[in-house]
Amino acid sequence: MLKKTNRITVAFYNFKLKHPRLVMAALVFIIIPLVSGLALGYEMKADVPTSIPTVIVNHDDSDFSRTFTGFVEDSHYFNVIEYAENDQRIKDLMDRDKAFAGIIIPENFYNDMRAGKAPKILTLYDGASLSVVTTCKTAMSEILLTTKGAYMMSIFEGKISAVPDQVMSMVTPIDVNYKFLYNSTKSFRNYLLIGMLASVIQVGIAMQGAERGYENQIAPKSYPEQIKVLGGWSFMSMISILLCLGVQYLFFDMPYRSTVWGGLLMTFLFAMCILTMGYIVGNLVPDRTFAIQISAILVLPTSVLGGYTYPIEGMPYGFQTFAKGLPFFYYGNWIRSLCLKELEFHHLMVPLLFFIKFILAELLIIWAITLFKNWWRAKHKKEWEVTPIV
Amino acid sequence: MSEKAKKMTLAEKKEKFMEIKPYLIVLLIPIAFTLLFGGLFNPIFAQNIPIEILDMDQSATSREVIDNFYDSPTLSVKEDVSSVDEIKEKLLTGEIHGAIIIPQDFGKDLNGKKGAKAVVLMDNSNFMYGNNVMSAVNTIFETVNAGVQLKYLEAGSLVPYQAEQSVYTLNLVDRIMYNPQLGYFYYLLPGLLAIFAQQAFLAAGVPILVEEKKRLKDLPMKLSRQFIRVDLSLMVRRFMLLTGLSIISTMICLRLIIKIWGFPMEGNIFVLILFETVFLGAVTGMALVIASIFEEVAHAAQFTMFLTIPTFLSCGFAWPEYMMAPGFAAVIKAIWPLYYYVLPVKNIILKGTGLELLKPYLVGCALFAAVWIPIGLLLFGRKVKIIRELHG
Repeated sequence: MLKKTNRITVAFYNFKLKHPRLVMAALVFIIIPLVSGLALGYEMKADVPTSIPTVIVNHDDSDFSRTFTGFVEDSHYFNVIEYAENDQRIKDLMDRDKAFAGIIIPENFYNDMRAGKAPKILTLYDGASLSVVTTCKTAMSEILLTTKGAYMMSIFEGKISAVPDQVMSMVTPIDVNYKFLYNSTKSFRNYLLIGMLASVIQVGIAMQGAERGYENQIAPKSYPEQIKVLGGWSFMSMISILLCLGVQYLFFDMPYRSTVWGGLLMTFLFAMCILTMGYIVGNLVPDRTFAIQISAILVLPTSVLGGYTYPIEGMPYGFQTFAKGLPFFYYGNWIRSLCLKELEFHHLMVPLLFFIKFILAELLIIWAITLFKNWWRAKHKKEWEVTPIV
Repeated sequence: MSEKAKKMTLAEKKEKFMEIKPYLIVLLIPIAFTLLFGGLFNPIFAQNIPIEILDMDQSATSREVIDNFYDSPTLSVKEDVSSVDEIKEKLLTGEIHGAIIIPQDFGKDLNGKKGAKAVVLMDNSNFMYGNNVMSAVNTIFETVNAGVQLKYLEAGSLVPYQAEQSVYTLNLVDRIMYNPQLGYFYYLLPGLLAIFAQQAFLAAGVPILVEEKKRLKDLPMKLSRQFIRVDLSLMVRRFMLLTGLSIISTMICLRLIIKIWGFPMEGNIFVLILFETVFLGAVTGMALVIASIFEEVAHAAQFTMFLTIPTFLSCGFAWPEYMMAPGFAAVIKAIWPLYYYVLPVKNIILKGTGLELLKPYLVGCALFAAVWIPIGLLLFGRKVKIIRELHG
């Protein structure tokens, strides 16, 4: 006799046996997108690296150097966790992942500065944590520019007797106004999560495509029927991506500033590209699990190969060309642009045309496979007196 | 051996391949991906990022400043726009990732000590572009500014040496520890090695366990304890073989990246092996849990593939633990073991950190394995018992 807890297990077990497609579709298209979206969105709630643990070694101890370290303390980007006595302490704390930035102000810094010896402040960053370093460096440069600006003003006023009106333009002969467009707060979530979540879902879409392709090996369908299957499951796949990104939009302040219809169409076409790719693999590989694994492996690396985080301009030429043939190269970058920029439908011609061409090529491949398999089956049916599975 | 292979039918060859497939996955997939990504990230810097320059001044001074940007390897400069709207359109479509606008009277203001202005626009939707453009453009403007300041000071009766010292004082000297060129390859590769090992191990191990569950379901109810013990020891040996192959694979990957791309391996290889062994033990616990949930190998395989990106993004590698939302790190450490492996791998490879400092990770990983292997075994055993009762 089964215990009560076992009865629940048995009920779930029987349900899974009866409705394997439903269970997997719900898992792949609903549960995983929702859980991933919520978990990763929550994890990166801070959004921008702030309060970066920083160690300061101030060998100078003048008012000037204390003013400088005061600026660092006041900046919300840095959290000064320790004023250490020796330089080695910075490395020790970095080795333990306790500090990510360090500042060393040399002895007699202020006196040397006044004597015109141009002393330097040494800043150290933990290069093994790239996301932190990029923020650190910019923030530190800003603090130093402010300090240096004040110092240069005193130089110009004192040494060449410039009038106050002129001083500012002498300190900064070219005043550059830097404008960070589309993601001015440097939101890490908006930079990373939009495409990465789509990348999580595309793995599921490819695997579901492989499942449908394998089903076609077992019970072959006509070409129009296959296209109908692809259309239906692509629609489901699109819903899955929208669900995942919807979580970011509703709960984690992800913006969406562009054409809605363009976004929907692009997402549908992308989903169809990936599903059909998996379908082709499932149609060709004779083992179900292996087909699923191959289709997943085909799309998994595209989150990196597609230049979503790492600019393709930094890749060797061959990889750049390859990236431009990947659906995720277009979808990842353009869905982020759709969210962050104000794009209209006509801006989307490049990705839309690529997806259409890609899908047409895939459908052509499926047509060729169907023709070949029909011919092969007909040929061997007479020989073996049964319709062989291919 | 080859004679035997020749005599095999296609079905027999397929069966043989499926038998060794898990071992091939664990051994070869990480190597293949290491070679792929190693080639991808080989150039350390992002180069030739397309930007536009709109020179509304068209003076000799503005030309002189603009010429400096052509020398930057980071930027690929074009000057084929005639309005700010054109620039905005190109930024929208991603054709360019930055733009510099030199306004009218730029040269006149600079030469007349009135303070010239310039605007730099950066596409920060992918801030790898924004940061690279900013860094390259800023360096050039700083250099130009320093040159102009020198001229001003020298004209104001300072000797050249004094002027130079005044301009270059209070500069920062940056030192990037462990990854001096701030390369993406150095940063990402330790994390990738860890995720390759995890995913290849799961892709191989979970199907073995689900198949085993199916096989046990069909065995007679009178199965003796001795039989189960033999079966269990066989399973342990298969997982030990997977662990061994995974370690060999990681070592080959490391050797390749050191040999081909000169990757620095600062730490002790034996410490790395120790961590990988304990980590794969912990992953075995999770493999048992996953295998106890899924009845079909194909479904379990799908689920394990899904874990790649979410586990990577939540393990503290891309988003450090101190920045995680409250409570998140504690939960993730309790339910998935990658945190205990990926950070030590990074620290061993890049920082050369020794076992002494990494002990908390090792203890955490061992505890994780000590908790989750029994839970996995319990769930797996319970599930086998239930389905045997149902089908018996």
